[in-house]
Amino acid sequence: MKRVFLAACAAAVASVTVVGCTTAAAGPVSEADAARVDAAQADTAATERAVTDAEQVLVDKARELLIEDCMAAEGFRYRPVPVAGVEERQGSGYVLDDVGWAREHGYGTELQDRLVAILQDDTNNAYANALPKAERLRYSKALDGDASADMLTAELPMGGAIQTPADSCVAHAKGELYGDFAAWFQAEKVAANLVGLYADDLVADERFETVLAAWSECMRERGHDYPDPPAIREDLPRLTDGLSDEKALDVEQELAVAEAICATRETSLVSTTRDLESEYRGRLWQYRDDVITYQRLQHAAVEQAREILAAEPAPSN
Amino acid sequence: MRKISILLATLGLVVTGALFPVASAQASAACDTAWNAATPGRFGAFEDIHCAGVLGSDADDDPNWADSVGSFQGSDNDKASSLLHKGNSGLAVRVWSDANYRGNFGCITKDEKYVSDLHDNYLTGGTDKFRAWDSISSHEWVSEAYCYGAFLS
Repeated sequence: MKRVFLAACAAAVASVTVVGCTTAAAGPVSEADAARVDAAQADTAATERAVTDAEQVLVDKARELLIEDCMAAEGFRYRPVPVAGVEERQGSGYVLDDVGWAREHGYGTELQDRLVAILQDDTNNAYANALPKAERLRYSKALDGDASADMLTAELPMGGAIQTPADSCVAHAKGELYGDFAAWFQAEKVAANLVGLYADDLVADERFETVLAAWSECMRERGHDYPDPPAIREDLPRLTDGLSDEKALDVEQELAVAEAICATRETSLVSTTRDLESEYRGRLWQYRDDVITYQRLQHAAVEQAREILAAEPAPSN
Repeated sequence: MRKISILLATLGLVVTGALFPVASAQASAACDTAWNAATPGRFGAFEDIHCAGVLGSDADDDPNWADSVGSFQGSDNDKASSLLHKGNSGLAVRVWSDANYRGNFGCITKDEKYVSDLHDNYLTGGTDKFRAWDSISSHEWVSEAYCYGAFLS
């Protein structure tokens, strides 16, 4: 997930801002709801910006170091797992918003494949698998917790709940970073799962339909006849079938650059969608507290991570 | 072989993709046992709830559970009723309702360990919900960032 802060009314690409800057409502809003939205908007100053991808990278790296320490205290070797970099966290949204990134990575297929391969090639697995059975079990429970023991439960915005072990080295590491693992788990599961509550309404919004039509026309003029960005992604397997990796990347890059240019320079698809997303998220006043908690804990984690990484001896080459 | 991930589902609307439970998740002693015994780095699927009746496990992707290639084959298609994730930090397994990473999808992350009963879950990815049980036809490992998010990015 790309987390970018755009000042003032641009509000944020993937931020979990509580309110938007546009006030026009596409659908009817009750007086009570409107009052709550107004109250939420008044709290804008109380919310923080979403953390950037670069900041999240720091948090993830610090988490791995904390897990390493925790596992060492349990008597196990744990090598910090590589974390996704800034570039690898881009490109997963509805439409590409960075022409430079698109020019280099296309739709990011190679980038993601490489990241997954690195993460799958985790030497910790070989280490764990080489342990005697009883120790392997203890390793597993120390690292990831025991699901038959104490579990945390988070209620999800679209219904239901999700659980995670309350006690493990992963939980401990996140607790150190975020200050309160239970609060983080609840807030993060809510904030990261709000999109399903408004995506349908957003794409049915007349303002979105208008700008999407302009984007599609821009693409058609460039020789790419697609109704929307997801249609390109659906078509990629056909377009790249049988091609070498190099040729396939060429195909991706051409389309991705056109998509991003049409979305950012030739039309206002990206900026309009940002504003709409901010507006629709702003209506979800009932999740405001979780979102504020999510942002507050994220920033606390960034500060913690900076301290942890600063205390870490520089790697020797 | 180059793998093309379809980043968004057919209708391409919702980027988020937790396996949405429709009821409260229940801890499962049987899935605990299965998870503890599972090989680190692998994803597993089961024909029955509570991690019973192994369909297969995989450290890689499988774009088609109905074909004769990969860890899941033939009759494994549209059979899974429970899942477990014993993969690596930062990786989620995205399961899809159709082959070749199409249709509706859901994600299971390492934090969640397992889904003991897919009857309590649905897949998303479009404008509608889709049952999660007896529906999975392909799976892929993705970075967790591809399972959560906002609409735009």
